[in-house]
Amino acid sequence: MAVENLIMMDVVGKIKYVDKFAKDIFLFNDIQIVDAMHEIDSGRFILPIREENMGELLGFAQLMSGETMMDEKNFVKTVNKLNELYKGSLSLDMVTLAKGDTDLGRALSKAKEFENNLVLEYGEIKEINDRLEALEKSRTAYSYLDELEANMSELDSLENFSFSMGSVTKDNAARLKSIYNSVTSIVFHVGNQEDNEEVFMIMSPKDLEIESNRILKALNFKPIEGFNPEYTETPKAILEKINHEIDMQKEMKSKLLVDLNAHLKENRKEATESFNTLSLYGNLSIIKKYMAFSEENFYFSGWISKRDKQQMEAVAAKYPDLIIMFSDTNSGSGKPPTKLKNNWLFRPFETLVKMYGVPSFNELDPTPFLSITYMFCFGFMFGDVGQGIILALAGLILGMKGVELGKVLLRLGMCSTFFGFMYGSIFGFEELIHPLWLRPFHEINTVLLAAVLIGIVMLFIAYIYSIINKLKKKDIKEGVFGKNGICGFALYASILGILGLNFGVFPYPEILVPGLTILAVLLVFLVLIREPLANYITKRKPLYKETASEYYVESGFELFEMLLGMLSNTLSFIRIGAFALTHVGLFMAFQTLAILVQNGVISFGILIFANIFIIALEGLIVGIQALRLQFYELFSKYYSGDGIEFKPVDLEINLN
Amino acid sequence: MSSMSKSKHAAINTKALAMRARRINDKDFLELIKAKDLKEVFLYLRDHTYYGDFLSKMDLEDLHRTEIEAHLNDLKVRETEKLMHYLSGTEKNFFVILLIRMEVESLRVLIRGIARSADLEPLQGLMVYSEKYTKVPFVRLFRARDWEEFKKMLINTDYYRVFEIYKDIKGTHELVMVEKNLDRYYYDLLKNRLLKLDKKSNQDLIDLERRNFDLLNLIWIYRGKKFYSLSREELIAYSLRGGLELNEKRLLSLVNAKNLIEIKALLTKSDYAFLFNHTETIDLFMERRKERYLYYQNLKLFGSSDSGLGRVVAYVRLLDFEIEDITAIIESKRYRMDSSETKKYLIRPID
Repeated sequence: MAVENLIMMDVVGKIKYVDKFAKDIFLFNDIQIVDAMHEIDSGRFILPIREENMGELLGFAQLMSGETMMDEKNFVKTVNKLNELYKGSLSLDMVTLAKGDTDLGRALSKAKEFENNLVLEYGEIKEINDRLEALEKSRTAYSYLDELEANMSELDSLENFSFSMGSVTKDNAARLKSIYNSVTSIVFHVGNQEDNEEVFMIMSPKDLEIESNRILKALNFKPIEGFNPEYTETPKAILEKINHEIDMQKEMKSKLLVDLNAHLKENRKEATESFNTLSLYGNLSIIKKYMAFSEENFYFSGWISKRDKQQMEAVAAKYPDLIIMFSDTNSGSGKPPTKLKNNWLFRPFETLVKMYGVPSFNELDPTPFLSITYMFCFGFMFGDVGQGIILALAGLILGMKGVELGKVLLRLGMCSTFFGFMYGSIFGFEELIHPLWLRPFHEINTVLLAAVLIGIVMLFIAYIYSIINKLKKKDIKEGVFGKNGICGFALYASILGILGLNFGVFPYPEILVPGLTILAVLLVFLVLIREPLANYITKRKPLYKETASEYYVESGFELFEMLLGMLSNTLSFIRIGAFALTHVGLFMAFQTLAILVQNGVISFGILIFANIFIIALEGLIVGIQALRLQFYELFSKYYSGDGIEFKPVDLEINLN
Repeated sequence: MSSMSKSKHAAINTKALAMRARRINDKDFLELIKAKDLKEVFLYLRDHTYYGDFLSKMDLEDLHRTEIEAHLNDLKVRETEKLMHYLSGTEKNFFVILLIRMEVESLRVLIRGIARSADLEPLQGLMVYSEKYTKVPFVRLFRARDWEEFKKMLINTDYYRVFEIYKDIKGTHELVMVEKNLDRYYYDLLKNRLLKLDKKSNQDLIDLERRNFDLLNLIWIYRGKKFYSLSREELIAYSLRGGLELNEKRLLSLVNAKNLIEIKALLTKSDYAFLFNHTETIDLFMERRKERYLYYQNLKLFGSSDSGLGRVVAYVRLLDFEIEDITAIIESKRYRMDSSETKKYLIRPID
């Protein structure tokens, strides 16, 4: 079975065990948690009414959703802090978690202690950083004056003048320059800032300071920070002093960092422990959000695989007074999610199936059928040993990098290689090896006919899938009498039979043709009246959902569409053959070009280009065409894809 | 060369022509002037003009003059963004200026709110800006409680530097100066991006924008002298660069002029004498006279410019004037002006 059977597990337990139980769930992992409150509200979480369940039953009346009570943010905050300190090198260790008993209180106090130890070192580093920032500012400030020979103390203590330095935008600098001669101060342009502003030094007489400040303000003059009256020497000497201090501070900082790292290293084990425990509790809080709580009990719901039932029962047995119940769709659970299970060969193709839709829980998983036919069609259309190997290698590399479609590509490439041997083609050249089957271009009709036959086989299988899917859903109308049901299938087979007889493929046409014709007409009639017929058999009333006349007009058109569809669906598969031919033809065109140029190097270049072009472009087109056959010609017949994907715990809970 | 730039702008020019065809015509304006009150103006705009899309969500029973204006400007944002799809590089960069103008005006509304210590939240409806192109975090700005907080929220924008040195804006003088600073930032940006455009294909546009600088400078110097009694240096500090006729030297001589008569004398030979050639209504209609002058110039630019960005920029400017006129009409309803009085305040001449 490629779609796993899932069952709903409902649990009621005593609140004092809730953390341990949640931890078991977290470690068990393969479970999709459902909001218990929602299950209870929708009446699916049903406790058998027995004396010993009274407490739990009464609890229903005063339930609270875990959503309103749980808060994992504090744990997450501390975890993130630890993670930051260790630059993300800590990781959740499931094995030790599973083994040991975890103590939340201890972990929290440990983390707290740990943090306090670090605060000291961090504080010192922060101080140094602040000091460094101030020093850098001063360095920039004094460097504008580095050619000044005077002592700064003299400038600061001028009796009748004050000086200021600041920057203005380029445009405002132009404005300032045009009023140089009417401003009551002396203005020096001393340099440019990194952000493209121009820096000026202004000396203004103290009597006129207010006026000149007004003008500077009008020019959006922004004073430069970093001047400090403690620096009294010449700017050059000051700069030397500053540089010296910067070096010293940096040295101190790197020493502190070494200490800090040593400290971190020393405490790594304990930090890891705290990290583990707190991450776990963060996760548990999230799990508990999905639970419901009464005063004494917790209520939990989740989907698990049917085969895990015993394992979960064993877990439940550890806790006294814990009630565990299972239900499947037959006994009142909601619509379960779908968990796909395929072997290594088919698994990558699940991605393609999910692109269309996740199978419904009561539907056959189309992945195996799609995988086989998709690989076959691709190989048939794109048969080449060399190009196939390149595709496979590309797929292998992508697959190892974690691209799911890469794995699909690897499989397609291998099929392409296989068909390459069948056609005897290596990088387009047909002279190197003998074909095991045929050369497509030499036997065009065979290839096209083979394509149609392959299509017919695939359609047959699709009909069977469709019939099974519809009958599983107890849909008699479509499953038995529908155009994709038994009647449709039989009609398709008999029409093919009539064609085969006419072309002399099958013997005894004189008896079989009229027989099959009568059968076909009968089947068409059955499809036409499928709704009333199905309702009559299942004894349902009324026979027609809408009025009878409306139904027959609609059904008549559908009939027409069905017959047309049978023809077009079948012929659609000719493309498999056609692309097999295109593949050869395209290379032949390039080969002709290569011969025409009569230049070894250019010819070689053309052939290389041809291969790249064919692999990239034709590979893409063929891949799309093969997928189109699946989605359009086949899936539309048998597949609904309206399921919900199964999401186990670890996909839902992610701390970061 | 010119034929190439013609074909380069063929699509956007055609788009601008098509957009302009939907504009409000004289007949519409007469209807709007005739309307009894704000509600009738609103209904006409909503049901008969291309502003309808932007007005349809407004509550008929709770109309505010300023909010209607903001919604009219939403159309301008949309049209400007649409035209932007056709541009790239320096041209697009220049065009963004038209959106920045609205951003600046929206900031002005907020700054005035802060200056009078008002709650900014109710001003949301008056904001006009391009969500796609703005770097100003408008949504957060409404939560600013004072000037310091407001400035801090702008730290990642150019505006921070514009406002940085102002510690407080409570005083009227401070507020005026902050606004002047904001305007100067905008026009410097406009000038710098304008000068990066291709000169040959955009000559007409560049000249017109530079005339706008001239007019703004004239009005500034006139008012600065008359109402704010600023020093010559401050007048220069806030004047704009890049004017067409009024270069640095002429600006200085205007600043140095002792009275209106001297200013008039300096302008006799310029194109701008019209601003002051009146006896009593100089102050009242100065702005409108400038706008009407620019309106005609932009009409000309729209009609004749077939290379570069001239036509497209003119389109947006004309849209500006249209919105200003509608705004003036809305205003006139408040003062119960009759139609002949209202017409005097419109940029476009209507008989």
